Amino acid sequence: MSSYCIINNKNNKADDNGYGSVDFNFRIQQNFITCQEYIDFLNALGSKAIDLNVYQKHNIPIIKYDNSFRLNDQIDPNLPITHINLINLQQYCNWINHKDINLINEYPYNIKDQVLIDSYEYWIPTYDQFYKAAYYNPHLQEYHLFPNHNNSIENNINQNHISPYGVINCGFKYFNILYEDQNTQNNQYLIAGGSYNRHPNNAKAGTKYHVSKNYSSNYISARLCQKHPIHNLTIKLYDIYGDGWHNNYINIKNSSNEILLEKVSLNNGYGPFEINLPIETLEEYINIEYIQSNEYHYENYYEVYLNNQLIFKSDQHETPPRLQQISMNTNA
Amino acid sequence: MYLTLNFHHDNIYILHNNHKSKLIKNNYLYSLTNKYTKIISVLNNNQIDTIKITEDSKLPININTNWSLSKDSNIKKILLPPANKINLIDTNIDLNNINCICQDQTSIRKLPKINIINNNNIFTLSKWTGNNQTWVSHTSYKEYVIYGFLYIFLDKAIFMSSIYKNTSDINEFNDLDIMSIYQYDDISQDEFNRINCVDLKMQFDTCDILHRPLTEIIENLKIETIYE
Repeated sequence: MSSYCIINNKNNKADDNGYGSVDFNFRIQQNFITCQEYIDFLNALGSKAIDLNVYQKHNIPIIKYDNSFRLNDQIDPNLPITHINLINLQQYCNWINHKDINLINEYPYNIKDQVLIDSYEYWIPTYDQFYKAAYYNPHLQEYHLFPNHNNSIENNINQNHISPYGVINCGFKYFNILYEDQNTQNNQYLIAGGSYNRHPNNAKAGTKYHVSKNYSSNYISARLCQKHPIHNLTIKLYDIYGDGWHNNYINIKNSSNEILLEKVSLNNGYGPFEINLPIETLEEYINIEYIQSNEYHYENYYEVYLNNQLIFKSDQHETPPRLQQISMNTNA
Repeated sequence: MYLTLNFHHDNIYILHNNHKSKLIKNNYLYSLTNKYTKIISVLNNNQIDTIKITEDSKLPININTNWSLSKDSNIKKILLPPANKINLIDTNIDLNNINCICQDQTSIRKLPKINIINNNNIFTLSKWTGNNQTWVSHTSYKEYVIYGFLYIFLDKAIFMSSIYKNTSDINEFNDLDIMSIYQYDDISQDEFNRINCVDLKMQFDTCDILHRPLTEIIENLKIETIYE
């Protein structure tokens, strides 16, 4: 299975052209989807790949079928998969998410309609996500013109290049199939970042093209994004007297002091009142702020669980700390 | 959108556009209108002359005028499509105007035979010369002279033809000029909107009459596209 690069530094500012800002952390495949990975996918579907229109005429230059799918001779299985279009990639992504042949044309990418927004693990990068992975330098907090840590193209574009986030040839060699709202570009899909058999300037930040929805070629490949893993954080609120927290409440903030949940309180009774919160594993700690507004604050206490493991409990007979920093390090 | 001509000084070109005629000067720019344009050329020298249709930041299309001259006449009629039907490719570092309509590793291999049928006369255009975006054909039938033009654009192909009797009295009044448009349906296009020229199969089956001859009766005018 491919390795993924972590694209952190969420909420980064956009480049001068307005591209590149992403408000969550995610992962992107370090390299392109390989021919072998795509062949494995087709063979998992078997002959149904033909019935379901996953394997089509335009795939023939690279893949052939006789009882099973095979790469054409002289094609290295480790090379990026080419001769696929957006629809093929959507089907591949649906399969990677669910491994369910019934959802191959349905979920999360509905081949006929739009993407079905819900929780899924893998998706096709958007232009902003691609742009950040290729051109953003998190250390300098600025964008490069080319996806090689640089503002110019080196002489040998045939060498492999690496972006500041560690993504290999992200904007070089092959174009990447990208996803954008189907409503805006009817019957077309977006590609960006290729210089294979094209002028190297195509790798320049902000250069993008559209091709018709059924177009595929030997210079277009793809990679997927993956959700950044998350912890399940559970907070339980209690009151020892059994009459709730009244006007007292807590605010939950992440490492960057952004509010995740505001004014959480136990309305009545002993509790526990339970809140579940997904937290990115990149978060080093969370801050819980206790705001007291009446005199019965010593009756309130709370517990914090990380992946169902108790990691913090405020004293049962004391006022909860006004500000408590809780480490998200699971080994702690 | 404009046209410009580069030609030998012995040759004469007359521009007919929107019922106006004027003598074309070498390397001048002439605007194309949304009516079709006809150029009458009088060729006294067979050096290569070129008509170029272009627009700012677009790749031009070139038409070479010195092909298939009739043995009996040095006069030729060239039809150009209306400006609003011409869709040129944007200039790009990766493109040149030699083979700009076709995707990488594809080229136009097969052009159709086109029959124009009028009053039981069948005029057949089958031998095309040219390259890439513009193709021309010339034939004669009985006392008629027929010129055919194929223009291949990003989203459509246009067939135009001028048919006239070969008399000593050359004017545009007795020309039958027709145009047929084939809009590509679901043909796959790359990032420059170029088409897969191997898959391109133009079908012209209806046509508009652009100019009716004064002395001829047009009856049951039909057009057929045949691939062999």
